[in-house]
Amino acid sequence: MSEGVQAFDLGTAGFWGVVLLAVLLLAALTDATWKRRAFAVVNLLALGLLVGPLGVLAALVAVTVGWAVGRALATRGFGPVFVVACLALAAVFGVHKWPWPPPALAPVRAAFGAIALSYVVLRIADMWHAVASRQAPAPDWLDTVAYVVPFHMLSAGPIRAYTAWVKEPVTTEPLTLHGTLDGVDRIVTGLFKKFVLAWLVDLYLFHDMASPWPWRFVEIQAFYVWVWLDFSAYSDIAVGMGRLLGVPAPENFDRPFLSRNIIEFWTRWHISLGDWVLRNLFQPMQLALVRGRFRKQPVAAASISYFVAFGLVGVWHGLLPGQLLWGVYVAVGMVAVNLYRAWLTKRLGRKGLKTYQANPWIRAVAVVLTFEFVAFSMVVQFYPQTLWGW
Amino acid sequence: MADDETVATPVDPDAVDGRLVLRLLWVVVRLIPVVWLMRAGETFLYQGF
Repeated sequence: MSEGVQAFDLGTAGFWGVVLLAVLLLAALTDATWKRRAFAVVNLLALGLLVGPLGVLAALVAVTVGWAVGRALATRGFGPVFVVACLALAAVFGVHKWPWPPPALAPVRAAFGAIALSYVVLRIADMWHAVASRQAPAPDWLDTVAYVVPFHMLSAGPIRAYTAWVKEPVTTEPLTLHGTLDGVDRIVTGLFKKFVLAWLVDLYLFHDMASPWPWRFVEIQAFYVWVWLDFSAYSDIAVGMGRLLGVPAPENFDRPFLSRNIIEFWTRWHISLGDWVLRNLFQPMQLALVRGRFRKQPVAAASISYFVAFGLVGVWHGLLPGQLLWGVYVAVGMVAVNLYRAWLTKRLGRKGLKTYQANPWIRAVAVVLTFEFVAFSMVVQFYPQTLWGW
Repeated sequence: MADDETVATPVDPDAVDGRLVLRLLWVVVRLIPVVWLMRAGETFLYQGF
């Protein structure tokens, strides 16, 4: 870690002290405008304590650029400014993710890494899209601080839709005993998942994909469960903190192990990212294709859109072979599901498709296949080097 | 008032009830190993993404 940038560790008393301080400072505010503004200021103070001065500087740079471009887009809408700004954002993100950075850039990367630039970029893009499409008004600087770098959702999301944030940036109901317990309970659920359950899975079932077959198969299942415990734990904590602060964090997981295909999986796993992709990539692309060359081929338009959108999600995760391969793997899975669904509809008709989907045996097989498809995708994403030895 | 009508008792949303106490206990029970592992040096880092 570079000088001036601190680790964002949820396993320290210091972190929870900052959360408690923020909750106490905001708890008494019942006026929405005051609370919104107060959260922005408290948020900057919290960031100062949690990520250090260079982290705050990086946050201020990101916020100010996002806000200035957002203001410009409010009057100009979609056009050259939008295109250039999005390309510049993608270029900055590419430099940040570049696997072989020059040593001189290390402190800058550490500062932007501390504020999780990957998520910051998605929030800024969502804001620009909403403003340029006239779904949201021109942003205000303090509001942009609160939206782009919320300390309780900073490190691993969730990503709130800008339009939803504009509608309800804060809640103003006073904290009741039950409400406080709800928030604390959710935080403790997250901490228990991470510190106890994920720790146990790691200790007893997972051995860095080094087990011989057939234990490797068990390890692959365990790794998927471990990733869910670890990641959804952070989302539980963010949702719990959001309740206590009165600054809502959206739900990010909904029993992903029950997904019957990879398209449904993305509505249950990292939901806020799946929604972001739908709003900002998949739907605009699909719409453009069906209005253009693919007017009579909606299935092809959807397949191309799935492929490009989720291929880009792979790039977003990292410019590394495993992440890129994972993006292609997921995209191929989505296209396959889309084509299979289209083929079934053609063969069985809409009514027949419904009967097919309602069959519990077919559902059970689909759920197991999807579980294995996703479990294997985690190997592709995080342990691609082990694939060659199979 | 008819015989079959009941008088609704106003419910205090913050009234301490058995379920609340159980929930609180459940929170504490889960927190014990969490704090123990935290003190043993386990970290919860999401850094540099």
